Amino acid sequence: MGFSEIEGPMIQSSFWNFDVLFTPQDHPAREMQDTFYIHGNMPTEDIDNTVLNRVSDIHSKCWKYKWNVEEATRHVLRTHTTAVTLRYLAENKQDEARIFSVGRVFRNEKMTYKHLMEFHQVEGVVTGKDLTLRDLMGLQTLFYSRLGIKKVKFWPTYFPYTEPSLQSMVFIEETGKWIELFGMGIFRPEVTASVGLTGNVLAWGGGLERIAMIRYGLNDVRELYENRLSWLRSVPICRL
Amino acid sequence: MVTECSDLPVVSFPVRKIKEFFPGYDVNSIVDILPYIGLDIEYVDEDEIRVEYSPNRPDFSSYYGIARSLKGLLEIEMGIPNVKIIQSKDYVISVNKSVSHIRPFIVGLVAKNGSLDDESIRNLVGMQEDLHNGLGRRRAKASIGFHDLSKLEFPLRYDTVSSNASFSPLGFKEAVTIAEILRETEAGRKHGKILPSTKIFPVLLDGSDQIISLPPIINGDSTKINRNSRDLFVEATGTNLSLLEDVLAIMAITLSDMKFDIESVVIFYGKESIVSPNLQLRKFEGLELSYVNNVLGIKITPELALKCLKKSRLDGLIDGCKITCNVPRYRTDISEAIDLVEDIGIGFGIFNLDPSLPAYRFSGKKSRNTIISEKIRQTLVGMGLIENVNFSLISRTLEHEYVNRDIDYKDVVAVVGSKSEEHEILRSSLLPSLLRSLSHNIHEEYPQRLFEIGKVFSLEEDPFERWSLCSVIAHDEADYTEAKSIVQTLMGVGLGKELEAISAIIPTYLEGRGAYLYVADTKVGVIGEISPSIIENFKIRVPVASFEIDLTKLVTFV
Repeated sequence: MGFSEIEGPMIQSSFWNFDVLFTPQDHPAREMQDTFYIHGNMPTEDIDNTVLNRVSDIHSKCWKYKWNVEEATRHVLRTHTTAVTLRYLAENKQDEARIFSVGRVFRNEKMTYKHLMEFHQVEGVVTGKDLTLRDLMGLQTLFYSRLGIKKVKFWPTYFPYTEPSLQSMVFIEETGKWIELFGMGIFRPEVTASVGLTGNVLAWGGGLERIAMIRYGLNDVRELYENRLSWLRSVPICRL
Repeated sequence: MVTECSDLPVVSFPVRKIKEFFPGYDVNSIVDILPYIGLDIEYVDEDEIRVEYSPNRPDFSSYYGIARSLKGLLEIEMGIPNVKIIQSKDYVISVNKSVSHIRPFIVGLVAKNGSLDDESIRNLVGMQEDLHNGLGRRRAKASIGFHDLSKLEFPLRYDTVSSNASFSPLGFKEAVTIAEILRETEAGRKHGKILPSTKIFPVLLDGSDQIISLPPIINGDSTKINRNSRDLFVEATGTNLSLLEDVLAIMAITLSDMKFDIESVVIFYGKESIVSPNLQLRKFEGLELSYVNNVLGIKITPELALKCLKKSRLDGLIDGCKITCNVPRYRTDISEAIDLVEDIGIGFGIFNLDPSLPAYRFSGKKSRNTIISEKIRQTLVGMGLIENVNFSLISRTLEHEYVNRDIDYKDVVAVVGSKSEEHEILRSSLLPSLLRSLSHNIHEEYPQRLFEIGKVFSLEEDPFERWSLCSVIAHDEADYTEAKSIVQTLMGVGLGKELEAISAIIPTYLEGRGAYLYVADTKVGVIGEISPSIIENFKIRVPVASFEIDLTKLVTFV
């Protein structure tokens, strides 16, 4: 589909993981209960002053509190790969780009049959001229069709850094059920403005494990990480 | 953009109420349309529907809010919902200066002539909890109290008292001191730390000087609401006045929908006074129609855009190609023009948007790391090895069992407050996880030859996050020669590189059976036969040979 792969570190500063993505510093998601903070001090990288000031202004204006730069330097295990993709676009301004990333993300949760504290996220970001919400829906539909999924429904949802935001439901022939898969949206102007991007920047993505579970008929997500040889030896290598 | 998210709040919508609010609509058709106002259906049976809502819509914390929104989309009731506030002079609260450093603000309203039953009380309590956890940031920023108006006397005072002051909190028949409440009650232990002082505490006192509330901890038992309460007093206290007015606006409209008459309360902060609830509309001027159309990818007229706004329970005035929008106070989700665009999209109906495909002239590509990793995988699988995937976060025990000695934790990257001991540090090598994998498979057939490609972390290195390749070979005859043969073939055939091994003493490996690996005079990894004591730690019963390569370093050569 013309997407180029990029990757980045799993350890991110809160600045790139949360602040640039319009998540206020007192948001529940930033609490230790939900996010893995790195113990001790990590070497602080320099953040471009222009970006820093823009983010500080936006936070103070929109969330009505005093933005704290120290809070932004606390390092976390990234909670989404958006921290990486957005930063890439900020540092490589291209008029038209399609980039993607597949990487691990982390949530401080108890592991259960359907939740992991470390899992894989797939994410695509698109910049260009005159991109619209309908284009985003079109790209997602095309992506699903390449995975062999023909029936898709979209409805509104919420993410802190995109507006409008949609989630998608797909019909799985094997189970005869509709399930929720990827989320998507157009980055909020506050987000794109702080990194100096113009126009509508589209983003879509979601967890990879759920697709793997459907493909292999698993009911417990932890099985994907158990590495049981009896299973591994029976499953053919994944070929597209 | 991850949809596997942590718990979103859930609201129950009784089927009986759905039928009452939407007569003539089949319940199933309501279930089908609810997602189009942004709700996730969690559960459906003949008595109730349970839906999950997003934190940007705290007005959905009660099913009245959901019904209000749905009526708009179904064109049953459009535009800004009407809430009548009776301006009254009867209800006054005086705020003492002493609260200003503790919990500075209070707002309130009176709701009269309504009727409550178990179900509507559950609804109010559910709302209160969701608002506490969401907007209220676990009560730190805002908390709400419900009181039976007939059990208290106005005017009220919002003041501070010492920990010796006493009253009967909810659920207690006897009076207890504030000190005891903080120590002995669940609410006290859980929320007490929100209050900044251990000497003075904010309380709400009524005209007869009884304490009716200790915010944000607990209310008094004497004013508790029940099925017989017809008149209510609702207050909210916290650290940000604007936020409190938002929270109260949500309560006001909900109680109004529940057929209560809403009357205002006057609050004196010194000589200044405010009237509460504040339901003043917010105006957004100059929303360009071209902006709306460009974002959504549609071409609608100003008239249709206005209709879509009204279907989202907002309103406005057309001014050429622009719309001046009016937003009611309870809609805390609207702060910028883009939020209005989304609401117009929802009013238009997301089901009415046809996907389109933008043109793009460039071709895509994989990253260099991926291309090399895929080559490695292809080669190793071709040689009969099986790929493993393990977590980056491991336990300190696992790292210890591998290293076989006390670890110098200054180089280890750890996380804070993990919910599980199994996931406290970021692994500095792939070997422990692979050894554990072998130990979980001791009843499977041998030979077992595994490999993993993954990231490892160590503060000793720069960058401290690096890609690594590790392999373990386990069977009765596993030895250094076999491991060497595999890694040599991988390097030569797979990556076209010459590999050299130089003997060394490495603690992981049996003495005399370990070496460093070099490519073009640069150390890229290690290889050897795992020392028996480590094998024993993992309860593996066959010899294990292994190699580990720093891929981040290797990639610079390939």
